[in-house]
Amino acid sequence: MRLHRLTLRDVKGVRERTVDFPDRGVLVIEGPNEIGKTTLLDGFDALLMLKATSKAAAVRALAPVDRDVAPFVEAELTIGGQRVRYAKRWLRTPSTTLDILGARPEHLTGDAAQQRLDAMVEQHLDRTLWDALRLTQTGDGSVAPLVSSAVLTAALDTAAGAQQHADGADALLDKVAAEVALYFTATGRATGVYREALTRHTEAQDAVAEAHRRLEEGAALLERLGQARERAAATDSEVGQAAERLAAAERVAGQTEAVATAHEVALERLAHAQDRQRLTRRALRQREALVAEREECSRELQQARHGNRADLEAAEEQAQALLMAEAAAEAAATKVEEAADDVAAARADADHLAAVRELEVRRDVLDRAEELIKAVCAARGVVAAQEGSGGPPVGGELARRVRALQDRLDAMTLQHDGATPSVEVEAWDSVVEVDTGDQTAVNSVRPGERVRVQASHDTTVEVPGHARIRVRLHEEARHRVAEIDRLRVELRHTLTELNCADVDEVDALVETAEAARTRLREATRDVEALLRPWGSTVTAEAVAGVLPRRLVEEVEQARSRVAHGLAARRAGRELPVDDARARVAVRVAEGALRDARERHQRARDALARRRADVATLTTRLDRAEGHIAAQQDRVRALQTQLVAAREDASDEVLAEQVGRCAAEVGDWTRAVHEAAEAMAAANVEGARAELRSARHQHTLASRAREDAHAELNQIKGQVEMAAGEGRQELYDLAVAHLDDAERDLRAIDRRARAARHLHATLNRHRDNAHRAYVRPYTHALEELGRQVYGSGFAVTVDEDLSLSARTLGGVTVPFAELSGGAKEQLGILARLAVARLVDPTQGVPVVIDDALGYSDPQRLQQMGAVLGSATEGSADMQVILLTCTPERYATIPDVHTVRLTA
Amino acid sequence: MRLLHTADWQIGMTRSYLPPEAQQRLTTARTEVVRRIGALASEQGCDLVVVAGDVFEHNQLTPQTVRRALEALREVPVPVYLLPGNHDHLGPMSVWSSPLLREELPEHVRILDTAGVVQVAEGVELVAAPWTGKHPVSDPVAGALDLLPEGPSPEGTVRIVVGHGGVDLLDRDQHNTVPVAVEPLVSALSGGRVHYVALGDRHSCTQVGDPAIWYSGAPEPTDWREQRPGEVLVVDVEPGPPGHRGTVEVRPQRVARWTYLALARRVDSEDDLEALDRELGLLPGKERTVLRLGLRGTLGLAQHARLEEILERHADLLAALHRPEQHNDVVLVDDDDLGELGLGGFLASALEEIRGEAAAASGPPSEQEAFRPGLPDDEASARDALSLLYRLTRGGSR
Repeated sequence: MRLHRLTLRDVKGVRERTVDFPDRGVLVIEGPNEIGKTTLLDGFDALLMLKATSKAAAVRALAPVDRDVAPFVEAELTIGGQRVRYAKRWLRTPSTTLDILGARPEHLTGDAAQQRLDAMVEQHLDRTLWDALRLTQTGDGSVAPLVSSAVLTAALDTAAGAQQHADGADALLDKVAAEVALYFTATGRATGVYREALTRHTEAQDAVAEAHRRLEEGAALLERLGQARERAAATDSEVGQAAERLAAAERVAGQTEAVATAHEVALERLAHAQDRQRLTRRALRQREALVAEREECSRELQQARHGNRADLEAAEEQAQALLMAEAAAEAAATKVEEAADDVAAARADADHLAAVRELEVRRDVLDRAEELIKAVCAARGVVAAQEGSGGPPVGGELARRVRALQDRLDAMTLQHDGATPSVEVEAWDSVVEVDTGDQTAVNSVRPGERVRVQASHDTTVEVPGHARIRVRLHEEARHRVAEIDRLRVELRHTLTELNCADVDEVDALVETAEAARTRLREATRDVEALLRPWGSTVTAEAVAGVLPRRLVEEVEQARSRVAHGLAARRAGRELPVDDARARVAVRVAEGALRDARERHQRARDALARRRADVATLTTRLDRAEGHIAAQQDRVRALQTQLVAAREDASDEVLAEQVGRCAAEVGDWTRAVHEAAEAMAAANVEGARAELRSARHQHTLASRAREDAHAELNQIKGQVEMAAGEGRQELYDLAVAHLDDAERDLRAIDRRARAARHLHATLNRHRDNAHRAYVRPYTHALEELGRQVYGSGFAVTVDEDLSLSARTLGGVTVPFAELSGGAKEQLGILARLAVARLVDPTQGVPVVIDDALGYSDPQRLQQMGAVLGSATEGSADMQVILLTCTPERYATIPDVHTVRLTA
Repeated sequence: MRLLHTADWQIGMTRSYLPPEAQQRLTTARTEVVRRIGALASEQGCDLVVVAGDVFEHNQLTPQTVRRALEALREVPVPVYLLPGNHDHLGPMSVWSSPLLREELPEHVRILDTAGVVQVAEGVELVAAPWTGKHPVSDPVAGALDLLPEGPSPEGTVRIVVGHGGVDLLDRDQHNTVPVAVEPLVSALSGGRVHYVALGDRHSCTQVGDPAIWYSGAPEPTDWREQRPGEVLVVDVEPGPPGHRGTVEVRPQRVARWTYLALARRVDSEDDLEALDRELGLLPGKERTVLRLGLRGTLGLAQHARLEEILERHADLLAALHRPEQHNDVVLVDDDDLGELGLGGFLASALEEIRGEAAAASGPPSEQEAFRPGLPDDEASARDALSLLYRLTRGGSR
């Protein structure tokens, strides 16, 4: 559709307006707000949509509010290749006219005109496209979904090279998706009947495995049963063989038993005979031993009695020797005591000498300390007196400051006196009063006196009643006087503080104080040097001026020791002249003491040996006496025992019994030999060994048989139990269930895979189709957009051809999040792209109503260039821009402009 | 005298192609047929029932199975003689020696667990040839004959051999190393030493080598290979004069309720599909029919979808619909069905891709291969996806 001319009369606020549209290119309709730009489009819409006879609200809205007139719209347009002029008047005297222009003109009115145009619109105007290509003031720039535009769809299909769009595809995809959802979750895991079938199949497999295991277990049991039976049979056979061997051995053993019994009897008799022989021999030996013992005891008694007598004599001699040894030991002890006394006396002498020496030393120290302490106290008294005078402590610095003050005062005074005049007053006949101002000079000069005063201050010379002469100091002299006064006051104050009359006194005071301090330091140093060995406490006491108590105590202690030593000395003993001789005397006395002690020790050792000898001999004598008494008792007892034994059996009888028993043993020994020979001939031991072996073998075989049969019975029981469980049937049933589960699963698996396969393939093709379908549109849009935004511009187009995102410089932003200006720009570009794609004969004008208000100047310029390029050349496109700010589109080349005025 | 000859009850048998529900019903049917046999024996005035082996499917049965079998036997109104066969032999773990069976066996039921002659009534002797183990080293029937006294049976005494196993006339396969020799039996019959041979092991009712040597067959079918399963034999036996054959009259009686049916059909057109649907619809006793269906042919996508729908519908009715791979080869051809769907746009390109993948499919997934669920998409899933696309596009659903 192309719009060529549009006329509105009495439509809303427009009285009369006609706009001519160029067939192609950009038309800018500019005018201020409320001039009726949008009304132009509303009027055209009403022309196409609203019947002339309609009384609908939309029709009534067309009428001006202030005038009772009939709205009229006329448009000249080309639609479906046919140029027509179409006009309608509404409300009052409604009318519709259609003029078909061209080679075969027609003029239609009323319903005929309406119907004809409706048919043309229905056939040739893509309403979706018409709506989509209008960017209105109220929109956000987005393009209405264009997927239902048949014109655009056909254009895109053509551009894509094939028919990509498929009718009913969505419904089919929904069905396929529903089919897939029967079997799979969104993440592709099995669900529903598919999962149930898988689970059932797995459980059936597990059940078969378990049943098979039980079956195999049964088979293993059978195998064990067979083996157990074989073992039981083998043990049965072994028991039989062992029983046969045992029976044979028992037969042979029975035959040899008589010989064995005879041998055993002979052995038993022999044993009895040997027992009797041992008894008789023992009785004889005991008799002989008794006699011998009695003889031995008698002999020992005689020997003991003889030995005892010699020991008694020796004991007498040892007692004498013991007494002598005791006397010698006692004498040696006395010598030791005497020597010890000598050592003690010598040591006392040495100690006494040492105490005297110590007393002298300490007393000397004490004396020196007393002197030094007195010096310290004296110096400290001087210092304290100086410091306690009430003034500040007099030091060198203060003295220097006082001296400096005095010097400065003297200098200032001298300078002032030199600089001030001296006034000589001579009184002739009356008293002349002189006031020098400092109260120091003469006040009155008697007549005839001549006084010379120094005018160091303002000075007044007055002759009372006659004249008064004032000598005034100049300003500098006044300052000097003031300074002299100040110095004088300061000096006086300082001296007062120091309690001194003048500077010389101060100097003398300082000198005295320094001398006292020097003496105090020296005395203190000497005290510290003297008393340092006695420790810090003693030193501190002395420095403080106190005679250290410890020093005094130590002198007293030393004095006490000397007195004690004198008292303790042995009377009449001569005191050594010095320490060396005292030490020699001590060593001599100690050597004598060691000798005495050694002699005493030897005497004690000899005494001990004597005593030991006496004790040994005494003990031996006691033991010998006891032994003699015991031997006497023993001899008597043995004699009594021998007499009693001989009364039972004499020595001769005993000897005869021994001989008889020996003969019996010889007889039975021979009998045993004979029986043993008989046994050897019969091989009794061999028969017995065979019997034992056969019995042992039979026992072992019997046990083995019992074990084998026990095992057999046990396995039989297990087999019976296993057989009763029906393991084969359960296995068969499990296999049948597994087969059924597998059949079921196979069928469901086929359906599930088919659904998945179909779903995947359809979706893949749909995606491919979508990409191919939107590609021309995307391409056209990006081509335009890159003129505005540069090469980094791209768009994402949805299946319904709406814009979902814009990419710029690698950054993708959803369309909804773009700024208003960007949305408008994209909206215009999208409409231009669509307009370029569709068939020009089926296309519609692109209408942009009051847009780009939010675009910056650079973007406006770029958009202008795009609008110009989109419509230039072969592009058969009609673009209508409505605006109240025409400068927005000033950069569009070759633009047509219609200016609306009131 | 009149006896009822039956064998191969195979109680406790399972079949992997049966769904659990059908398996349960078939298990029940194997004890129910015992009751019907008892009723038939009573109705026919039989003196006794001999079961010539394989009363049980095997020896390791659940107590429930054994008790239910004994309960059914308890309701048989005539004496019953059970012979251990190769499935329920007397070897270790034998069901016959289980405490449960020994304690709960009905009094009128006796186990022929010893080879040789057993007098069961006045003038009636059974010559039992039980299987003492799973792998006998000699012909048990011949062994039992050897235990007979020399010469014909006593006058007026009917001797009936009860044996089990394949006979050398029929079973020449390798696995049966010691078949039952027929010739000695024929000789014994001819000489009046025995008068009837009741055999078990063959599940089809079969006469072997002599009018008096019979396999009764299984009373309920167990496999599609069986020719005449589901019958028992009512046998009238009369001894002849000493040294001569007796007279034997054998009357097969059908007792089975279940059917093992094997069908092989071609399906190449809508008509074939209609015929198949009709034929399956007309099957009697569907819930007790185990159908092995073999289909071969070439079908388009729509026809294939129709076939699947038919089979799914009938499978719900049948006890089991078994379609082993080796019996089925229905080729899915790329026809115009998909074109008629009118898919355009990317749907068309997707369809083409799936068709290309499906065309590479060699056939249905082999059931012999180890099944692994959840394999990646491949030609097989493409073929199924194609079918699914067809159904969903047409608005159908599974």
